[in-house]
Amino acid sequence: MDAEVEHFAHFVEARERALQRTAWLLTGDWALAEDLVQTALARSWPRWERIRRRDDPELYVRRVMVNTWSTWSRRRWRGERASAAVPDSPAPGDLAGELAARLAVRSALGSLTHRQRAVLVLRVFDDLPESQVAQVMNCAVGTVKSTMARALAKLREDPRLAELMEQEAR
Amino acid sequence: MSETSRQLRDLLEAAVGEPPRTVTVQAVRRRVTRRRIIESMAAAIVAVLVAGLGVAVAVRASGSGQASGPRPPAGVPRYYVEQGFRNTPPAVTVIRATATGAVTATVHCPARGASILGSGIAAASHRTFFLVCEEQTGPRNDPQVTGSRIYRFHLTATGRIARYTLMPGGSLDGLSVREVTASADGAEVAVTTSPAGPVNSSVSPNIMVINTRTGTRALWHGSPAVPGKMALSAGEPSLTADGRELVYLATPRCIRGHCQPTGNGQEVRALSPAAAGGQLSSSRLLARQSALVPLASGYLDGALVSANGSSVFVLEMNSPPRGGSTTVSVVKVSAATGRPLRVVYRVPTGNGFSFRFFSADPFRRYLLLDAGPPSGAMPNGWIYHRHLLPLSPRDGTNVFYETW
Repeated sequence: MDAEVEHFAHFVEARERALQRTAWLLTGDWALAEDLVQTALARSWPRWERIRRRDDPELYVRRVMVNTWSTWSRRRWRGERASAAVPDSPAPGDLAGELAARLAVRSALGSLTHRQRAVLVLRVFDDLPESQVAQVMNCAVGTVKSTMARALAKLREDPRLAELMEQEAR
Repeated sequence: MSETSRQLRDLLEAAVGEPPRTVTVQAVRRRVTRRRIIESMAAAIVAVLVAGLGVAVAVRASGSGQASGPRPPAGVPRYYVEQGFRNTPPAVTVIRATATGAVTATVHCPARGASILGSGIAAASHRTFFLVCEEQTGPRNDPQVTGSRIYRFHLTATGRIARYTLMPGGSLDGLSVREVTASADGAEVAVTTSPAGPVNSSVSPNIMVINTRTGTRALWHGSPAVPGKMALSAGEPSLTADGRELVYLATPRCIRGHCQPTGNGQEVRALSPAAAGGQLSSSRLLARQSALVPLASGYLDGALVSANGSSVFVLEMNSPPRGGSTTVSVVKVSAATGRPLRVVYRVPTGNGFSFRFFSADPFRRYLLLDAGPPSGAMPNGWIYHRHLLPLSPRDGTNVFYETW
């Protein structure tokens, strides 16, 4: 039991930031992202003994996270919660530019379906191979490929995102 | 990974930035604890709600808490009408659930100043009932009937009365109804009638058959009163399921003066087609009392034609002259031969008997009987495989009439 607790604590410590970042790309809000990660971890904890025996516990947690987010998205009421702290902290550098990029990305991701958004985030941002994305999404690899292609095609239509990508390329 | 994907990834990286807060193990564990508490509370709430719902359903089903035994077999009518004695307060007519005896509704006459006729309710299929209301004038302790109205009401699935409607042809001004019956399909209603006003023993009742859709009436005239001669008085009418045939119990009566007994006793007679009208004397004889019980010691107190008219359920009372126990019997009699086919129910009642009513469901499958010893409790129930299964109230002493 102690080993289990220790393993879980290590996992949370090591992966919570990466999970939060993925969660932000899914939800577009830091408070929601934190809530999503906590919920996914809380749901995984009772089964941690079995999860840790797997090769990749993170894949399981991501799957719980995507499923949870999918459930939240289907709700009419999104369960909005008040946050005590302002989520965005002041940042040095080109604040206006960063904010513009963030808004553009959030807006572009918002134009995708939930499934497209999840596949895109897992495949592009988390750099998971297609087979693992298929595992997380509980679908075939072919479905991942087609969903990914449709998501990219849709993003290319977004002029603000296209402009940002050009700037990034330069 | 393609170039586009790489560019997109860099863009996503730049857009995401760093999370403002850290997700700690302690926070996750607090959430796990909270989830467990919420889950157990939800489970407890669900359990309480389910238990509460169960209790509510049970209380609702059992009404005042009276239970009349095990659940009745499938097919038995779910509700029955119980009419209390008029002079025994509270003189009410109620709907009761067969399974529990719980009162689900109270029957009343829609018109002000009218009261429900004793035994004035007939049942048809689909929880349809016909209600006879008497319009009265004069003092409360000695009212005079001025006319009758027949209403129709339906019971809901929960035993409530949906609404009352005046039956077409159901306004019987100047007539007093004595008994009422209905065909199972509810298309025909038959009533025994006599002129309204003070009871005139020299008048034999007529039988009126009313089409409940069109209001068309057919009248069967009773025997004319001839002083010193026995006449057959019609009573206990019942219709076949399709309403084509009407069966009644004809009882010899000396209408005026002193009559010489004919020795024929009571007769079960049939009118067919019921909606034709005419003279009751033209009816067909189905069975004689003498073929069922000894004329000297027996008596017929009821007759109900079967749904298809092939047989008649006859209620016999027989008190042997030399001190034997009185027996109350329900016997199935062939309409073709007038002979008994089988005894449906028989009960010894000791030295004499008490009797309240004998009725049935619209298809004559389930017979109701309230009869018993001359004193003490009177069993009230329905006949099932030669046994009387109790209905509420178990003691039918204060029950005037029931039907379902």
